[in-house]
Amino acid sequence: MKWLLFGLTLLAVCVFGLAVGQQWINPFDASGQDAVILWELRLPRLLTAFAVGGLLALAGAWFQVLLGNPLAEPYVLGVAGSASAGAVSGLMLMPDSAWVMSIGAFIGAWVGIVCVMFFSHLGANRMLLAGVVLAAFWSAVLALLLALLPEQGLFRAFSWMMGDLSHSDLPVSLLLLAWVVALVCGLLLSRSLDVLLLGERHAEALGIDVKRLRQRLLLLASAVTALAVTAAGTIGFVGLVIPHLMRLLFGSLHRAVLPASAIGGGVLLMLADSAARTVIAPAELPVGILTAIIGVPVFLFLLLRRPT
Amino acid sequence: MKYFRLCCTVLCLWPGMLSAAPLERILALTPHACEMLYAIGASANIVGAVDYCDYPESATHLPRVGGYTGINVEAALRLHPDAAIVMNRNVKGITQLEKMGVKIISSNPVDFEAVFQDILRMGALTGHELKAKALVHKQRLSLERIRHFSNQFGADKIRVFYELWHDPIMTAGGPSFITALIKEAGGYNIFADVGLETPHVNVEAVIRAHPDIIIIPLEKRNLKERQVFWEHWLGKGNVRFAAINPDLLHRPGPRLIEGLELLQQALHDSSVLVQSRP
Amino acid sequence: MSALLELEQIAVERGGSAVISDLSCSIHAGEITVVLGPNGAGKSSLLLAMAGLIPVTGRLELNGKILETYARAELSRQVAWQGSLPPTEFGLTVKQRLALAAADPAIDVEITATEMDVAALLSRPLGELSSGERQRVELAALMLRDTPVWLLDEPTAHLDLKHQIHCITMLKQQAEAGRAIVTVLHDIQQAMAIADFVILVDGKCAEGQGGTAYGEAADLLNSATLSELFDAPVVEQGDVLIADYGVTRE
Repeated sequence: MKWLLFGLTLLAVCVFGLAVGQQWINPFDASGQDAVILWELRLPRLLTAFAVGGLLALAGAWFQVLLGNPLAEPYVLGVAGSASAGAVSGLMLMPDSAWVMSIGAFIGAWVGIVCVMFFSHLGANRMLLAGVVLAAFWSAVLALLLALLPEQGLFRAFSWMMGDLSHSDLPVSLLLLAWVVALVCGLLLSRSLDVLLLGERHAEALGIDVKRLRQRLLLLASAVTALAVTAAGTIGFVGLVIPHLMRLLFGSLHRAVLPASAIGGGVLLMLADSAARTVIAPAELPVGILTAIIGVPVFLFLLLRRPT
Repeated sequence: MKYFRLCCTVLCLWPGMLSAAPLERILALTPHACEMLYAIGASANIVGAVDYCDYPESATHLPRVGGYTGINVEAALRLHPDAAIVMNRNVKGITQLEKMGVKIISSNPVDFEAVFQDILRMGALTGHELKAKALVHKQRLSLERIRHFSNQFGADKIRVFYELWHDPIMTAGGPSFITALIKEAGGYNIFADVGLETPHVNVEAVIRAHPDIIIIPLEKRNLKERQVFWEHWLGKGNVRFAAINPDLLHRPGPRLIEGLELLQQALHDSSVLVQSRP
Repeated sequence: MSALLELEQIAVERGGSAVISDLSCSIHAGEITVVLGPNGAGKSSLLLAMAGLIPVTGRLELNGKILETYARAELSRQVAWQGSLPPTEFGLTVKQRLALAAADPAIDVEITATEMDVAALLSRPLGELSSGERQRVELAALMLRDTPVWLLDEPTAHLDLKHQIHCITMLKQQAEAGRAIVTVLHDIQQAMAIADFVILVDGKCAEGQGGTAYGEAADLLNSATLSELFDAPVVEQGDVLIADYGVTRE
């Protein structure tokens, strides 16, 4: 029943996201200019939002279990910072190239991940600490790069840093494929992830090779984060809020949490981007602002409601 | 309203005009002020400038004291300036310069009348009143001519999309000087109703607004590339393109009138494709 | 009859310094071995070592095979460990937690839950339970682990009297059914009730003088040994040993 409602919500949001914009278009009866706008502009953007939102929520759920910390999110270990630094470095080296920010972000994200990997053998808490310190380092590097960046590059850098779905360099099909692959990998690991909820000791005693699981999980979650950041810049709060919301709705077991997050994250980002396109149309707002505006109250509400 | 402002400006300046000796050593901390000083023959009074003061060519040889992120106070003071002309007092280092006894003069004109007043003011401050007055007179005549031409066509006929930046797509909104310039040139900025200075817009919004012409401030960008991009969405032949050197449109200085002339030409003469003068 | 667990000159470290050294003992099926000692003596570390959760030096064999050579999954079919209470952050319910312990999903969690008096808690999240209730859930989780060896770290902690007795009785029954049980206990009476063998850990390993002792319960559980071990008065009263609290009620 819950899942049926959830599926219906997804469909409704998809149709709504297509229909809404500067002007309302009926998706079932569009022709001429409206059809071009609907299928060539709104649809790819909607699907990008869905895939990126889903990937971020999946990564968030994984990082929370990996670090045994409900406050973890995809950017907690500094991957967003290193990706941003990479993107801005790319912009400095080749300010006129179209792909340069995406390539820079992807390389930057992996540099950040490799740095974190050095600490993956430590326990969850120390790894989290190392990640938070690395994140601070990357944001300092980013600030330095921004100070050196020529003025013309600043628009692009800031719009990317606040999350921008208006022109993803990655093809939509690749993102959707990644969404499917990530979800399948997650489901294959779901039983191990459940056991990891009991803590590392208990998980090991129950026969899980925790060290290997953590490494795989870190790699998977980081790869997914890197891809999402490359596609749409740094979009906050989806990865933090959605897994918690889904645990409230569907319980803690990952065979439910992971698919629910993959869909729920997509739904939230589709809604946020629809709002970003519409609220001050014909002008746009950065989507990252809207996820935070929607995400923060939801998160605080959860914090008040949940027993400590 | 304009006259009121004019009177105020004149009144404020009056005592200075009478009493003070001409300023000998000036820091031009904004490019339009630098251009104004050159245009009224006061270039000898400039002792320092900021990175992007690049017109006329000889201005590039001026000692540099900062960039858009802020002013290097030490470098500035080493030039023993009497005064500094700034666009925005909030730039880092300005307050400190003021504390060290450098007179800070703000110049941020938001319409043509203000540009003219600032040129006259620079003339008064540097003792080049006559040349300043002559320049303003000439510019007023040019502006009259442009307005007359625009009036012939009836306003708001030509729909203009001003692509301030392409990634993300940014344009000039209602409150911006650009919207006023487009209007003076006899066009209508399709995003004139957006109440933001530099709004982000998307392709859909541009498609719906049906622009007749897309103006691209050619700033290290490939016009051909933008042409291909927009023709894909708007259809080949449905829209014209023109590139204009952004320094002529974005700097409220003596060359603004030249920028306006180019804009008008681009709007009304369909043979114009790329315009850029040195 | 060969030993299930064989320890020979085992040394265990905690935080870089040795807490247990030179311990040898054998754990057989059907026997209960109680580990006694003061706080910080290394009892929990010893149990973790036996469960293969931390490294040891010396010879530690399970079924005649070096324990470290077992794969995780295989080891978990041989040895079950009950230790600290699991974290509650992610809202697992009691039922979900128990299902995670059951190796075979087909095992009926509810029967065990009823047996261990946690059936009424099944749908509640772990975070809403008291420590005692959570401890009972952990014991129920252990009951679902049908392994030859059970390692328990203070199974009666947090429990009320009824459930302490229930727990001790359960351990006795399990041993009689053929399980090998090693348990850390703090209560001398509980130890006396079920111990076949005793491991004493005095926590003075770092000072180079103390050590460990292993032997039959009957030989080691006496007032002199325990008084020295705990550095606290333990007296005999009839057949039983009790702690002397030094206060009397008028």
